Amino acid sequence: MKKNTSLHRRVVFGLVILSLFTASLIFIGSSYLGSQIIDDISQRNMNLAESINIQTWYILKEPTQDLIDVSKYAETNPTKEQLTSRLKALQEFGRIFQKVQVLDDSGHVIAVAPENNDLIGIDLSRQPFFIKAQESNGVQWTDSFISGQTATPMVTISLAFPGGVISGHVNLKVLSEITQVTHPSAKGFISILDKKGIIIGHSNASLTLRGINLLNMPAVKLGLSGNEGTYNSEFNSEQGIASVAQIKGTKWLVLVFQPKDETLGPVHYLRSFALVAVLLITLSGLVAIAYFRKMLFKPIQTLTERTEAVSLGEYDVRIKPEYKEFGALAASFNDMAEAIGIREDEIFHEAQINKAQAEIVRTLTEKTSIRALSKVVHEWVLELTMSEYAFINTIDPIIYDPQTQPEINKSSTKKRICPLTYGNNPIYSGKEISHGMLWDHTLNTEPNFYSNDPEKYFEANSLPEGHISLKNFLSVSATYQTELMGQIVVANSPQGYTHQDLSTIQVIADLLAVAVNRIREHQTLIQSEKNLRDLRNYLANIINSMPSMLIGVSPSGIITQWNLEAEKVTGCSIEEAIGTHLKDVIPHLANEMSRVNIAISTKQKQTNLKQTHTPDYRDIHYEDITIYPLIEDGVEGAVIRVDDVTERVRLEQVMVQSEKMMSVGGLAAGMAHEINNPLAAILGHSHNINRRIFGDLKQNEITAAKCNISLEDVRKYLTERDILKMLNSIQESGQRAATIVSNMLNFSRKSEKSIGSFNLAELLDKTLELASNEYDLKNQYDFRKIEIVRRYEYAIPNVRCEGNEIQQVFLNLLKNGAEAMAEKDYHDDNPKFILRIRKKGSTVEVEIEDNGPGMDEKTRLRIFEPFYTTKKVGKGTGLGLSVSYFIVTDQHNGTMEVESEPGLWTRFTLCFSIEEKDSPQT
Amino acid sequence: MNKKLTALFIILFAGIFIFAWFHFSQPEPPIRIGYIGSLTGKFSDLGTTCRDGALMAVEEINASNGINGRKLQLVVRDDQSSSDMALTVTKQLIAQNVQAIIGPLTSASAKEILDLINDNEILTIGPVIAGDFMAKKEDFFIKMYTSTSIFGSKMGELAASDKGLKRLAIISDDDNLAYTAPIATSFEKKVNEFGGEVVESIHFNSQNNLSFSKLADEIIASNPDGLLMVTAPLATAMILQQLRLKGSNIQCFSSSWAASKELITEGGSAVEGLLLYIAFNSKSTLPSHTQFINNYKARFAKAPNYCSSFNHDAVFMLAEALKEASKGSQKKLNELIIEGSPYKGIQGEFDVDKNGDISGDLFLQTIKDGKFIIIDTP
Repeated sequence: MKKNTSLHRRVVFGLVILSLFTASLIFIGSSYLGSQIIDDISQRNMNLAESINIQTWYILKEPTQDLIDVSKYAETNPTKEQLTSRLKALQEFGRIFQKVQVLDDSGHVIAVAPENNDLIGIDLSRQPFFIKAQESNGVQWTDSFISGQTATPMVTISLAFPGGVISGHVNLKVLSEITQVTHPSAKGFISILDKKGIIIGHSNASLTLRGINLLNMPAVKLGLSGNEGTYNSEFNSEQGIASVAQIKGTKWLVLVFQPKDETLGPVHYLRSFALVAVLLITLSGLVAIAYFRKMLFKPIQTLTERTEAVSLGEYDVRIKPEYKEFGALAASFNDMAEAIGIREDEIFHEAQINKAQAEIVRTLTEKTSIRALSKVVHEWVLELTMSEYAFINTIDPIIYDPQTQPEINKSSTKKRICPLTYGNNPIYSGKEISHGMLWDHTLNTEPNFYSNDPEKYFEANSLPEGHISLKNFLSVSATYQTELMGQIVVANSPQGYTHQDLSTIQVIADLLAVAVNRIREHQTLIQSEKNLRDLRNYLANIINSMPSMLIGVSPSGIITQWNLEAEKVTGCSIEEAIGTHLKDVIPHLANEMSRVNIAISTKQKQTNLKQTHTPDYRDIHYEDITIYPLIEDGVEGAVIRVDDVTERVRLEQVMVQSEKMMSVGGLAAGMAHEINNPLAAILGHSHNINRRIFGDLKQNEITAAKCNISLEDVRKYLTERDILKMLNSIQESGQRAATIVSNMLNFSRKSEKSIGSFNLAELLDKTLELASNEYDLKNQYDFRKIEIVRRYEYAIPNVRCEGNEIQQVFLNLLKNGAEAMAEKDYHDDNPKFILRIRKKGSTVEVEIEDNGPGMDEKTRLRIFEPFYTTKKVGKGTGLGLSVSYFIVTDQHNGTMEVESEPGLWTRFTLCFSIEEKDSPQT
Repeated sequence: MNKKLTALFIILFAGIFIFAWFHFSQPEPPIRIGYIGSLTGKFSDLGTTCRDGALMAVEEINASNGINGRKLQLVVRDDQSSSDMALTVTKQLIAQNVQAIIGPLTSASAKEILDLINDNEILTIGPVIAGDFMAKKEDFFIKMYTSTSIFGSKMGELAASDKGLKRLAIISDDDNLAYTAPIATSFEKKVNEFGGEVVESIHFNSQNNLSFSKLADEIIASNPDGLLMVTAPLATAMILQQLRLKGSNIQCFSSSWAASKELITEGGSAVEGLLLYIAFNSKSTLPSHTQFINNYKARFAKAPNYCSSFNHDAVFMLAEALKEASKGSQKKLNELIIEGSPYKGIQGEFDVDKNGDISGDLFLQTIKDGKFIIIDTP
């Protein structure tokens, strides 16, 4: 069944089912009844058949007996006349025999009654009665036949006796007479059938004459074969019940037939009637249902409408019941509507209050200003009490001192008159608000009260001029934990004020108090927080501005503080550092943990100076590590201060080195001077020798002549013997030595500067020459083997510089390059320098490029650092490039850059400004 | 909702109504066929067998779906072996609006009703009507039996030619003149052809009281060699009994009218050697014939004779025509009967010619040891 089946449908359905059920019952009932009737009738008809049977038997008994008697007489061999008269007597008296005859053994007629001479002697040997009588003993009955003369069914009984056969034609008219006595019913009949099933007696006598054979009736067939009983049979196309009983002796059949229609007629009629009645009742029932449906549903419809109205919010609807039955429903509906109405109002009111509260709280969370709060409260109190005016008042805690001024005093209250009073008109347009008795009452006597006739509180029974008229009045004070926070006043509600209004406003007032308190607290809180934040920031700035790493650790080594410097140096951010163990962030400080613990336990600072740590094997950093014990939040810990003193240490080293250099310089100068002397001698003398041999001097000629040698021969001999070459070589070497000395002097004599305008190309060439003289035993490189490629631009302007220093720089670069190239494996190539000098804007650019092994990025970045060297410890000081850099950039205001492709080349680019400018004094 | 409901109910109750109608209503009325039979009176012996043959045919047809579903009903009327009565009952049958009539038994009755049935255009089939009067006429009468004149001729030939009898006597029942007259006439003609002579022609009317003894005397008095008997079975038997009692042994010939069991039971040994022509082969071995005999015996507990057979065929022939008519044919039944030819009968196929006549073969029979036996087949 679907959820929403119509009731009507169900009822109708039920009715239909009921009527069908009834109809079925009727059918079943009538069938049952019918079968009962049939059974009864069958029984009755059977009885009837039996009685007919018996009657017939008795009727037939007589002629049988008579025949036997006469046969006995015939045996006595009477004369023909005697026999005939005896037969006559039998035939006339009995009245059952139509004809009686006696035949002899051959079948010829001996005597016949009624008398007929024509018949005497005729051969009846073929007659069935004759044949039968002779064949068997006792009285024989033939098949029936219709007598042509009497037009009635006849049967012949015959009996054989010694000498012949006696036969009598029996008129079976009597059978019909029997069957006509009783009728089983109006249309039923009784019939007597012979052995072959031919009608020989019938309620309708005419049927007996026609030789009608009823063997086609199953009942007849069964009856003739000995099965007596009642069976369904058809006669004349009519279905009926046939009761059959067999007559003994003749084996004839009594048949009682009754048409079923006739029998069951009344039953069927009744059934039809009943069915029609059911039909009519059902139909009228349906009609009635349809009609009453309307009637019934009208009140339900009304109910539906009213209920809908209630659901839509109309609580005033009431039902007036039309029928008594609906009285209870109407009454309860009305009660319900009323109750709902009341409840709705209450709920609504509650909801309003809740809404008000919610909004107040929301305002509180969103805008923490008392003004916004007051505005919301103002709106709501107006709505909740349906008042015309409202007045919200808050008390400034600064001014109000509950201790000294326990009561609300007008002069103490700081008024905030909410600007959204009724139509922008303030309650009172006057400048001052006087006490007034009403006001006084409110402030001093009864902080929470209302009055529907406030006149009694007016001073002098009247309001001040300009005041709005007051019909009613309600005031509630807003108190937070005994502290007065403010006041709510409403006035002029058209319905007046009730206790409910008072409690409503009290609820709001309480909330207002809480809210105001909260706002205030909040503001204080914000201020404190700000102060705290500022302080924090100030502190953090101090710590972070420290150039040392400040790391706070717990006794177990977990980092608790981390400053900016620490972040810079380690690359680990504050967030990452705090909470992790020291050794995870700064591994090399892990060793300090023991000292940390000492510091904590002794509460004395521990210092560890100049700790070295090498992040990579080339770089050495120096650090001062100081540990301060600390008590932080009650938990012991320490602050580790790490100062990177690498610069200082290096500076110290540089200073030491400078001192060294200076002393070396002084030594060099002394040595140079010492060397210059013998060197001058060598040079001078070799020059002289050369002059005196190969020079065009008069003296040479003269002396040669004097010694009686040919000058030519002497020259020839000396040339051939390479003496001249050697002499030149001595001169060259001496010259070179002198140059070296000179350069060295220049180099070491820092104070003697020769600032001038120099051509960089010349300086570079000069340096090349110097470099080519270098043959460092240690280094195993030969400068002369290096290919020099010059790409000097034409007409390079001079630059103002200190020549020696520039030379020094060039030399350093060339030396480095040469040394580097010595380490590279050149398969097909050869080491070479590419030297470029070009003018570039207002500068002269010098490029010194070698095709050595180059340097990686890391090295390249640090190559100018003092003491940074790629050479192994012991080889080189690492100062060369740094000094060069210093000279170029600091002394000459130029630039020095390096580029490199690892494995391929390295290029140093120097820029000097062309402008005539005083170079900074060192 | 209301509309749907109303419709539902209409359907529901219509259904109940229709069911009830069919349940309670009568079945289609049967097709009524009139039957005129001589069930009582002197011809009752033959008459009942005729009626039984027809009845069995009707029962058989009804058992196998009738005439396209409609049952056949035989409205049986007894003409009491009287042609006047035949007329009366025919009128009754016509008044009862029967579709067709089967019967009557005798040619006399048939002649009596011929005008009536033709006027009313009622198809009438005479299964054993042989009278020439009905032959060769285009009318509403179907004659199923070979014309008596033919019988007469054949017997004349038999008597005069085959048996070489020259002095012949005829005895005939004027009650059935329509039947007997043509036989006598053609018999005499044939006899004359073969050089014989009909010395005596005795007429009597079976309606009247008869003395068979006297009739026998008359016959003997004319001293014939042979006797043609055109009489009913009982009369034939009785006359022969008297003849034999009186010592006459002349060869007797009979029309098929006498060919019934009654002849033998009433005639005893007197009828032995009687010669008859019957248009019926009682020795037929056709399965239809055997079947018919078995069915008849089962139904009526006795053996059938030629009358039963012809009546049976008549009903089946009519049934065919009725079936055609029920299919909506506009033709009259008699036309349909003719059109439906040939028909399968118990003795084989038979034709209906355009005059509505059927003729069959004649079988020569005699009585021996109380039984009819066929001597000669054509």
